[in-house]
Amino acid sequence: MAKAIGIDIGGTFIDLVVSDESGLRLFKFASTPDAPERGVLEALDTLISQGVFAAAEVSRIAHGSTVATNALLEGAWARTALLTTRGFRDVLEIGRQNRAHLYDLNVDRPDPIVSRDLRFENSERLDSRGQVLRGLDEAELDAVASSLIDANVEAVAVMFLFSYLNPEHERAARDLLESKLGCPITLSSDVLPEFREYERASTTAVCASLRPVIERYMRNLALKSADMGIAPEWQIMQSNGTVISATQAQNEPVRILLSGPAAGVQGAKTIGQLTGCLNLITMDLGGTSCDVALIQEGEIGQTTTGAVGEHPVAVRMNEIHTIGAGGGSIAWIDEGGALRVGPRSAGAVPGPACYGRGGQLPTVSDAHAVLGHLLPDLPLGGSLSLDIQKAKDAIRSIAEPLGLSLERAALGILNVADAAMERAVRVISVERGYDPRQFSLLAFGGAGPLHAVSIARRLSIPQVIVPAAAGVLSAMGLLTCEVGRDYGRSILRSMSDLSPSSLMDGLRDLEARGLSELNAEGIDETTLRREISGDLRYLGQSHELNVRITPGAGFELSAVDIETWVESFHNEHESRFGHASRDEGVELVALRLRITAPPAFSQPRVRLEGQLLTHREMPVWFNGSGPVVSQVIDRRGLESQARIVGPAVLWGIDATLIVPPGVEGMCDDMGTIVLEVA
Amino acid sequence: MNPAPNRVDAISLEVLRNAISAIADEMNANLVRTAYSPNIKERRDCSSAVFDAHGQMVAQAESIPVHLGAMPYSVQAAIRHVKAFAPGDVVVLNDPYAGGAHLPDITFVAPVFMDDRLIAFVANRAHHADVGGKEPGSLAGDTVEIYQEGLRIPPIRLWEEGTLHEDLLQLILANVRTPDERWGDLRAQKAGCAIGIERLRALCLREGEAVLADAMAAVLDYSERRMRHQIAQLPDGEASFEDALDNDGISDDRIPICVHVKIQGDRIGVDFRGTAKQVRGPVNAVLAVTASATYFAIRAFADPDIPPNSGCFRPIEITAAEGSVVNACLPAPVVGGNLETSQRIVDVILGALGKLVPEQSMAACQGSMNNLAIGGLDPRTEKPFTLYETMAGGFGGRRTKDGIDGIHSHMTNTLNTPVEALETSYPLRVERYELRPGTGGEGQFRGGLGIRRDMTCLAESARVSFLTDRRLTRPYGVEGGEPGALGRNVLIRGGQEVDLPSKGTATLHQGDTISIQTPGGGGFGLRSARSQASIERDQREGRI
Repeated sequence: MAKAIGIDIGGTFIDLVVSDESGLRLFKFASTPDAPERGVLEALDTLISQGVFAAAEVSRIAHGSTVATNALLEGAWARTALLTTRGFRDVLEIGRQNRAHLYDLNVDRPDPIVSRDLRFENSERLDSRGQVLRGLDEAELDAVASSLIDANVEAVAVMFLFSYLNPEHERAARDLLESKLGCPITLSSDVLPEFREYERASTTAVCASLRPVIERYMRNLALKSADMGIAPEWQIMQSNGTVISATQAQNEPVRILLSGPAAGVQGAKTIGQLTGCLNLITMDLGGTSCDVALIQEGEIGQTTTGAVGEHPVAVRMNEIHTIGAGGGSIAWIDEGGALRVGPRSAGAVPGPACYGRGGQLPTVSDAHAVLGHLLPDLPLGGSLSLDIQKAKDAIRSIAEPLGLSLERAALGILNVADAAMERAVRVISVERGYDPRQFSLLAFGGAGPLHAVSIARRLSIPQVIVPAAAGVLSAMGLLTCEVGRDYGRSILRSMSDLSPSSLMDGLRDLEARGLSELNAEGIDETTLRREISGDLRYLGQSHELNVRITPGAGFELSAVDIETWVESFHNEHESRFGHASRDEGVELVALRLRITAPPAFSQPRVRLEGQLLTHREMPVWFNGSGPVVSQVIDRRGLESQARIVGPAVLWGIDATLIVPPGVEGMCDDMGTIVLEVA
Repeated sequence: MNPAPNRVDAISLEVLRNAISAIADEMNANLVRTAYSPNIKERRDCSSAVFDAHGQMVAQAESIPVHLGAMPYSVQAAIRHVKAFAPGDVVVLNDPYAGGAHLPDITFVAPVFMDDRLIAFVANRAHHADVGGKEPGSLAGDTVEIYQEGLRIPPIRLWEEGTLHEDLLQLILANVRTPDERWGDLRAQKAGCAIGIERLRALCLREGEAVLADAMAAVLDYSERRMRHQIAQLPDGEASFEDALDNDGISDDRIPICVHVKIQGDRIGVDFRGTAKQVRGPVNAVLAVTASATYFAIRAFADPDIPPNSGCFRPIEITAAEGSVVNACLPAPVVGGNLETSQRIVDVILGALGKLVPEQSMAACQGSMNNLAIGGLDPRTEKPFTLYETMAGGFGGRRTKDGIDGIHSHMTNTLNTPVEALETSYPLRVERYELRPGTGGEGQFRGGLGIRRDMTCLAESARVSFLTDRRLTRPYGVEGGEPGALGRNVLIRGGQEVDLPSKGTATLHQGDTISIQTPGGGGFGLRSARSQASIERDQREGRI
C-alpha cells in the first residue's frame, strides 16, 4: 500500500507520521542535534526493519527541518561575500541603526552574515525609477572576482540599490562572476525584488550563506534514503506553509527557515477545515517555547517582516509569534516580590523536577503534576513516568515564602504562565486588529492541551479544539499542505495610474516563472490555483496591508476588479485599524502571486495501537476550585460523538487535555475534541 | 525575598502587570500601523503609556527612552489645565512649558471612565515631522525664542465628550507645512487612545474597579521596591562629573553640564549644580526632559529589566535650578534640549556613576542624535516635503567589549529611513551610507565607529537644518581609553568641502551635497592592553 511519510525534527524529538488509507501512525524518536540527518535516517531504518513500511511503498516523503534555522542561530553559515553599490557596503551591518534592547548598556549586535572585508562595491547606480545613473563597472568586477577567489568564499550575494526595479546590473554581475567562480551566486532581485535595501540585503545574504549548508544536508539525505530504496524526491516545508522539492529548497534556503513551526500551523489549519472551523488561533506549546498564529477564513496569517536571530528575512512566511514559555519554564520570586515564570527553562535536561532526572527547580510541569493534571503511573510522551513527590518538593520552594498551600502556589504558577501566553495571543490577535471572540483556539504540542481552556477563558475565546495527534501535529501538517510558491515585485505606484493590462503584464511574468518551476517538479498544470494579492497603502503612509483580489474572470484583471481591490483595502484597513479614508489615494507597493497545487493527503484518523487504559476517578485541582473528583479518560478510546463533560482529564500518549468543571464538548470521528468554553 | 506587602498578592501582581503592559503595547502597535508620516511608521518615533487615575504612569510601551520619564509631566499638565474631565475628552498638547518636551512631540492624553468614575488615563506621544516655525522640520538650530520654533499647543481638549473641535483643528493645521500628513498622524494618535480606553474598560469589567485600582498601585510599588533593591546593592558615596555641549547655535561658548550624584542606602540624589544657565539658542531642556534622561541613565545602570513606571522613579531625587539649561524657563527655545542636551545629561550621570561603581563604568557613546531636517518643494509632485532623520554613531567601549559601530545610543532608538524609501519619497539622492573607519576612541576595548551619510539635493533648492553636537567636544574615554573622534557637518558644492557648524541652517542648491559624519564612541582601558586578535580583525576589516 502506498505510504506517505512526514518527518519533523524538533529540539528534543523527531516526530514521524506514516499515512496510508488505513489511517495515521505516529512515532517519536530522539533527535540527534550534532548531525540531524543521522537521526532521520536511523528513524526510517528502524521503521523499515520493524516492518511498519517497506521502502518501495513510500510514495511521498515530506520533511520539516530546523537545519537552516540552527545554522543561522549558531553562526554556522558558509563563508559568504557581498557585492553591492558603491557607498553602501555597510548597509548590511548598520541595518536600521537601532539596538535590540533599549536600556541595556551591554547590548550586542549579532555578527553580520558577511564580514566587512568580504563586502565589495561597484560604481554602478540606478535611480529611484530604475534608470541607470552609472553603468556596471566591469573592470572593478574583474578585480572583485580575483579577490573572491583569493578569499576562498563559498557563496556570493549581490544586492544593488533599486535592483527590484531593474535587475540588469545584478544579472550582468552574476554572469561575469559565474564565469570565474565555482560557487553559487544569489541575486537580491531573484530572492526578494522589493524595496528597503537593508532587509533585502539581509535576506539575500542569509539565503546565499545557507545554500552550501542546505545543499550538503539535502544531498546526504537524498543519497542515503535512495540507498535504502526510498525513491521519491524529498519535499521540504517552507516558512509559508507550502512544500517545495529539495532541489528548490537548496537554491532558496531562506524560504525554509520556519519549516517546523510552519508545518504545525499547517496541520492546525487542516484540522480546522475538517472540523468546520475556519477562524483559528493556534497555540503550539512545548517544553521551552510557545508558538502562536492566527488563521482567518482558512488562510494562515502571513508576514514579510520576519527575522531569525535578529537577521531580517523579508520573504513571505507564516506569521508565528514565539515566546519563551513552556512546560519547562521555571517559577521564581523576584526581588520586588512578584511571582515570575520563565524566561529560564529547565529544558529537556535536567527537565522539570517531576521527570526525576535531577531537576530541582519548580516548573510549569511540576505545577501540573501537583494539581493532578499529569498522572504519576501513566506514561508521558510514551515512556517517561512522573515523580509527584519531587514535584511537590520543588513547588514548596514557592509556596512557603508566599504563605500558600502547595496547590494554591501551583495554581498561581499556572496563572502567571497563562498571563504570558495570553499576552502572546494578544500580539497576533488584538494588536493586529483581530477580535479573539470570533476565533476558536486550536491547541497542540505536548503541553498545549493542558493550558487550552484556561487561555481561551482569559481571552473570551468561545471554543477549544484539540486534535487527536496533538503532540505530533507538525509531522502531520507536512502531509496536508499544498505544494506552492510565492512571487512578488515592487510597483510603488498609485492605483489610479495602473491599468489592468499593465498589472497583467507583471502577473504573467510572475506566472511564467512559477509554471516553469512547478512544471520542473512534475506537477500537473491544470490543478494549480493562482492567488493574486497586493501590498496596498494610503499614499504617504508607509505601512502596507496585503489584500487579495479574486478576478471576476479567471486569471484576468478588469477595471472593476481593481476598484473592488481598492474597496477591499479600505474595508480591511477599517476593520483592522478602526478607520479608513475613502477619499484618499491608494498605492500599490508590491504585486504578489501565489501558485499552489492541492495536497494528495486525505486521512487524518489516528490508528489505535496498544491497550486502552481503564476509566477511573481521582481528585484534581482547577483554577478557582479546590480538589474536584474528576474522570480520567484514555482519549484514544473515545467513540465518535462521545460527549465530554468536565471535570475530566483526557489522557493521550503525546499530550494530556484538562477539562475544568463547567466545560463540555464532543469528540468527532477523527478523534478531534471540540470543547465549548462558556 | 519577601512577597508583595499589600492587598494584591504576588500572583495577581504579575498577572495584572502583564495585562496593563499589553494594553500599552497594543496602543503603540496601533499608532505605528495607522500613522501616516515615515517618521512614525518607518522610524517609530512614538510612545504609548497607561496611567492611574492620579496621573502616575503604570506601564509604557518601550520604544523611545526620551519619552519615558517625560510623559507623566504631560498627564499632570492635562489634569491641571482641564480639571473636570468627561468621557470622550481627548487632550492634546506640545507646549514644553505645560507638560511637553519640545514642540515636534505632540502628546495625547485621554481619561478612561467607568460610568461617571474616572479610573485611569491613557496617553501617547509622537514626533511630528513639522509643527511650523521658521524652518521646515521645526528643528532650526539658530532660534532664540520658542515662538520661532513652531506652534505651541497648551493642554486643550481637541475632542470634547467625543466631538472634534473642528475650529481648533483648523487652527493647528493652518500653522504647519504638511497639514494632510499631520491630520493623518493626529488621527492615528486618537485611534491609539481609543484602543487603550476600550481595553482598560474591558479589563476593569473583568477584574472589578477596586482590584484594578489596587493592582495599579501595587505595580507602582513593585517597581519602586525593585529599584530600591538595586540601588541598595550599590556602594554609598558621592561623585561629580562634568562635560559640555559644543555651543547653543548662537554663540561659540561651550555649555558646561555638571552633575553631583549621591547614593545613600536605597536612594539616589542627582544634583545639576554648576550647570550653565539657560542659553539663547535651542539647546535648553525643560525639567521633563532632564528627568527623563536621569531616569534612563539610572534605570539602565541599575537594572534594565525593572518595569518602567512612576514607581521606579520614586527613589530618585532630582535637583535642577530653575533658569538653568537643564530646567529652562519661558521663552527659551528648547527643540534641541530633548535631542542633544538629554544625551549629555546621560553622559554625565553615567560618568559619575562609573566613578562610584567602577566595575560598571563605560566610555561615552557618540552623544548626539545628529538631527537633520530637509524641506522644500518636490519638483516631481510640486508639493512641499519635509524629511526628518537622526543618525547613529559609535557606542562607548565597555569593560568586556568594544562599543558597537554605527548604532543609536541612550535617549533615542529611532530607525533610519531606508535609502530606497527616501529617494522614492524625496528629491534627494543618498551618495553613501557607511562606517567611518578610525573614529572609535582607542583603548583595550575601542569605541564604536561613527557613520557618514551624504545626500545630494535634486530639487531646485532646499533648506536644511542640522542640530548636532560633539563636533567640538569629544566623547570621553574611561580607564585610560581615548576619546571618540569628533563628528563633522560638511556642505559639498562643486567639489569643494565647506565645514558647517554644530547647529544651524543652510540652503542647498541643486547638486549640493550635505554630508553628516557622526562621532565615534570613547574607548575603554589602555590601548596597550588591546588584544592582537582584535587589532588584526580591525585591520583586516578596514575599521582602523
